[in-house]
Amino acid sequence: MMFQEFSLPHVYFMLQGLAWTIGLAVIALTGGSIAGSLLALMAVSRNRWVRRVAKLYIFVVQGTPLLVTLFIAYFGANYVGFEVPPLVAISIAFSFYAAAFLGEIWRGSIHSVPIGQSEGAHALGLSRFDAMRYIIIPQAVKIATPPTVGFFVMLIKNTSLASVVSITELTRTAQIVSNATFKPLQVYLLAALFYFLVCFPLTIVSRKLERRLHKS
Amino acid sequence: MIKFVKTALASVVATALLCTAGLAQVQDESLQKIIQRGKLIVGISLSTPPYGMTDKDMKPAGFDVAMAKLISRDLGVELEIVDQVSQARIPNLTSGKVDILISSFGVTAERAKTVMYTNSIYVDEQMILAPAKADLKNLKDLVGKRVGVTRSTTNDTLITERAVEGTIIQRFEDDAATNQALFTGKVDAIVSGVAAAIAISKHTDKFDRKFAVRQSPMAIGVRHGEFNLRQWLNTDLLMLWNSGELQAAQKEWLGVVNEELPRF
Repeated sequence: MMFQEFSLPHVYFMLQGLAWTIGLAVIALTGGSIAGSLLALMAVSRNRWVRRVAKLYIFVVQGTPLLVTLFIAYFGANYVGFEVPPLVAISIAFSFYAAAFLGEIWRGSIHSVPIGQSEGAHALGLSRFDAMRYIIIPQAVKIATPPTVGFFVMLIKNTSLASVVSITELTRTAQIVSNATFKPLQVYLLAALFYFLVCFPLTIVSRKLERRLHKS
Repeated sequence: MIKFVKTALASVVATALLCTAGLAQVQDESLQKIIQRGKLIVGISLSTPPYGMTDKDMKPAGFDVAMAKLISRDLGVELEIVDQVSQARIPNLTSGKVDILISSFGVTAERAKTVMYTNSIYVDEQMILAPAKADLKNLKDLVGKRVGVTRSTTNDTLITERAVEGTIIQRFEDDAATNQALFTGKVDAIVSGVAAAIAISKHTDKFDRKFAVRQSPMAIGVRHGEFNLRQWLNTDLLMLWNSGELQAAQKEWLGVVNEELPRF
């Protein structure tokens, strides 16, 4: 057996891994955002039981490592007799995981809008829905932007756990290439650069968004 | 973390066992199922050269891949390779994600409680590899030395069990990291298989094989209860041995040929 030189085919292979990583991130962010906003609304509901369900969900999922959630979603379903394709299992696990964190971040943001705002809206005769829609949420978005983007960036890097369920994403391709070439330093530096190239634009967009929201 | 995963998995497995206990009388259709499907799904770790790796076109290659190709050819079905990290090997098999494991899978009594093994396909020798100038003759000489090993491999189990007190064991995530730790002097020695040791000595002559610690047979993993599949695999392994194709695969990828393979 000969060691291979770290060369262009390896970089292409890692780019395929990068495509998976981006795909997984998009799925996780979309699924997580939809479920997360539902959860945030549940957490600020007037009904005590709806609030409690949301709180329990956040409590349980935030307290479980993502790796375990992934294992359960991927392997667990088979043990009880369901055949779940890897991508579906991963989408479910990542969305559930992201929902708990986003739900909590957004609940906090909604709560940190001064109480006078909703009292004012109420005094003006706005319904609860309209007050949310026109007064509270626009102000909450401003507060929520930095922690949300921070979590998005973390989530993108967490997609590396998908290799456990046989998805050949960026970190796994780096592992394979580094084992074939015995050049871990170069290979992992390249992987780090790829992750940075995905995450950095997000941070930029977040800065811009913040500035625009502050102007309005 | 890993312990937590193991605990979580164990409870999942326990539930599964309870659920399937009632179905124990069902006929064993493990082999028929694969033939009817026309495809054999094999779990292989592609980050474990020279067993599982990728060639210069990034296609799966290595000893395990060669064995998988021979077996699927004899079975007359297509081959599908599922790449897996070493911790996912057994869950992949027991949960039915793959049909069999050919994944540098060392035989241990502990693992045999969860999966079945076929006859051996290769017997590796686990040895201590260290810089040429180091004077190491047995496990006692490793006291106070840093010994690198890849996590959750049979090398790890071996050194954890046999190391003399005072040996500093350092675990790494994959073979590349373990070897790199030796190359850069982060550890004084590593536990390695023969094939990997040969590969390293082709790369550089700064490191020597110091002494062998144990023989380590490797085999194909099959789910508990799938005796028809296991029996067919054993038959095929005998045929591949008689035709010399198994030895040729060992020679090509591992650089050594076993004189005989244990059958059990």
